[in-house]
Amino acid sequence: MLSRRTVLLLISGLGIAVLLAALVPQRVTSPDGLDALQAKAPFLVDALKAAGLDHVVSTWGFAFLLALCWLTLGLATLNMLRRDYRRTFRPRTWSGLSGWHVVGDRPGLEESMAALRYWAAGRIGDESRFLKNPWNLWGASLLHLGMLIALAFAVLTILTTARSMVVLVEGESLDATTQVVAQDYGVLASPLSLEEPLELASVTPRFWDDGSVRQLETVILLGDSAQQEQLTVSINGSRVVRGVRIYQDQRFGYSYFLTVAFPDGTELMQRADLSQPLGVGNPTYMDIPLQDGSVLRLKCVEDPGTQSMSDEPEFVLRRELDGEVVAQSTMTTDTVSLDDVTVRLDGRRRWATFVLAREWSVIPLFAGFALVFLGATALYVGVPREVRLRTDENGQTWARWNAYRFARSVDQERDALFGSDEEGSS
Amino acid sequence: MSAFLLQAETRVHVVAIVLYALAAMMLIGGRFLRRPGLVRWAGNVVPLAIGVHALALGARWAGSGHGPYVTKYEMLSAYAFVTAVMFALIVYRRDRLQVLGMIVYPVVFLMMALGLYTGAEVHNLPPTFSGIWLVIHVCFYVLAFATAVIALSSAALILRGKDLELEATGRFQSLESLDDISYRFGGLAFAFWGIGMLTGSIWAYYSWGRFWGWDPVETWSLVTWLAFGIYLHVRRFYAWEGKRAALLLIVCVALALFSLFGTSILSDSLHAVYFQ
Repeated sequence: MLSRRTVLLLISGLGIAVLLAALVPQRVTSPDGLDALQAKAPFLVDALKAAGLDHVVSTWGFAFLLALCWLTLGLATLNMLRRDYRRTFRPRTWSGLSGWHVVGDRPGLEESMAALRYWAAGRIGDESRFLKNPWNLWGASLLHLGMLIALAFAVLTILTTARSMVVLVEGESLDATTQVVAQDYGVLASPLSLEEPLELASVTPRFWDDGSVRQLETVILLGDSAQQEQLTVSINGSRVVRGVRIYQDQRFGYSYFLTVAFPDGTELMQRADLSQPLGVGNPTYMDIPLQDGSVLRLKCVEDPGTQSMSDEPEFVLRRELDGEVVAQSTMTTDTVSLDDVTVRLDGRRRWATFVLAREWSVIPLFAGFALVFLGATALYVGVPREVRLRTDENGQTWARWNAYRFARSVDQERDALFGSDEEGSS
Repeated sequence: MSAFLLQAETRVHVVAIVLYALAAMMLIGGRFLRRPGLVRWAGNVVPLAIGVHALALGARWAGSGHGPYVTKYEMLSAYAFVTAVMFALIVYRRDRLQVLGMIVYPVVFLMMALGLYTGAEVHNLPPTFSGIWLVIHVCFYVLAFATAVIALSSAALILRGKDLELEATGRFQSLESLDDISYRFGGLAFAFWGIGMLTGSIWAYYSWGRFWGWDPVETWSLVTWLAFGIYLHVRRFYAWEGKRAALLLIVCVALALFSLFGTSILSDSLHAVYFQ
């Protein structure tokens, strides 16, 4: 499981799988790209689908590969932790190793080592031990442990996530015990439901001069009318309510409540949710097919004379039959006539979109990256080294220097302590 | 006031480019013409260039009302600045590594010049651009880039081989220790990149309600991180070093560049709204 080849094969396999997910249009993240490819090369798309390459990261093969990587990472971390513990706290003697230098002036050498921030760390057998940057020995272990924790948390999140999107109009509410239909549902996720009524009280966007959104704030009322709690949610300013985090999505606009009256006396009541036009040149549209075969095309547009994007945009209605414009009017009063059809505006309110998700603590992820940071700094910034001194039966002192990694970067220190040439070995 | 600051900033930015270019020319010229005086002068010009660059970034920050992390111009300038500062700090501690400036300074001034080419207009801050996680996310990617550039510089000099060592670096730095520098900074780039991804996922969680969405930017970022992982493991397991390892590192840095500056312009990316 832990052979070098296995580890490299697993990392490479993961890399190739992710690369495939980046290069081949994916069903979830790039449906338009997949459709375009289908139109150009249907046989290729059929082959990709048969191989599961249109949804690489949600295949069982990918999950299996990820599980193997995690297992290998776990075993490697365990091995490294044991190795670093042994090196730090239960080191062996170096007597059988080569590379010992003859020391002429032991007090002088110890003074030089102290100046270079080596500190005496006790004795092992007949050897005195001097260490520099010993905690950097733990770098690889911490780095791998951090990745292990982060990956475990990521998998746990995927398995237990329940997440949903909800569109509400000002004044509209979701009842208590409403079981929100979750769009993303992990294998171990339980149903996402509200414990108390949730009402959207107001939607307040703020805009930059060019019409782009600066911030979107909504006020939500929680609880029944007798005892309501007010909550303000904004983009990147989510709030947690009893384990469910409420996010403010960036999509919002106007809901127009319309009644369309036909010549035969029948009426059609319709709620039209149009997105907020972002700037003067960016109108938004919605089509409503009518019973007589014509289409009511609605347009929400910012007037070029608008002083502020917070002003209400113009609401334009056009009736089309077989692609030809039958009538068009801007809604400046409560009722407009489009040829023989009358449209009445019963109300206009803002709508906004929310994401509801079961709250997960980010502490494990934070702990994971904190360990990665500590581990990487210890592993690549500082070089742990050690000097052992021992005196043989003739009274001669011997010293051996070892850098646990990147020895070439600190060899001038060894040369400063013992000279560039080995004086001998025992 | 804002308009004045932004106008002045572009000019100061150009002055910083010229100073970095001057430092690069002095360093390269000094090495190859064996004129130590020029090399010393390069060392004096760099702090001045960094100071002027800091002034430009400060003016940009004050003028635009937000940090330099929205447009490509701002990002390239911020990446270049951190790279230059990090390299200056390294050289301050180990002046033998000044030879890496032959690659680092040209990269820095080319990035800044490229930033000018992409346009210095100020863009408004999108509403998702807030919070401590965004700051940490951006900082770690900038650090990852800076460390990757320093690793790349070592790799590039290793690829030039012994000739360069004799002519220019022999007295200052051996190829073996350049190889260690490349390894260590490649390792730091891997770790910082990983932390950048993790903190980015926390930011995404607070902004969009999900940690990871396999967006092209996220996917290519993961590909880059895994490539760095392969680089570190072949070095560790199979003792790859020298030109072979240097070539692999250059591939990793190329992937990093594509992830940082190439993928965000893909139209189907959620990140496409940023870095315009």
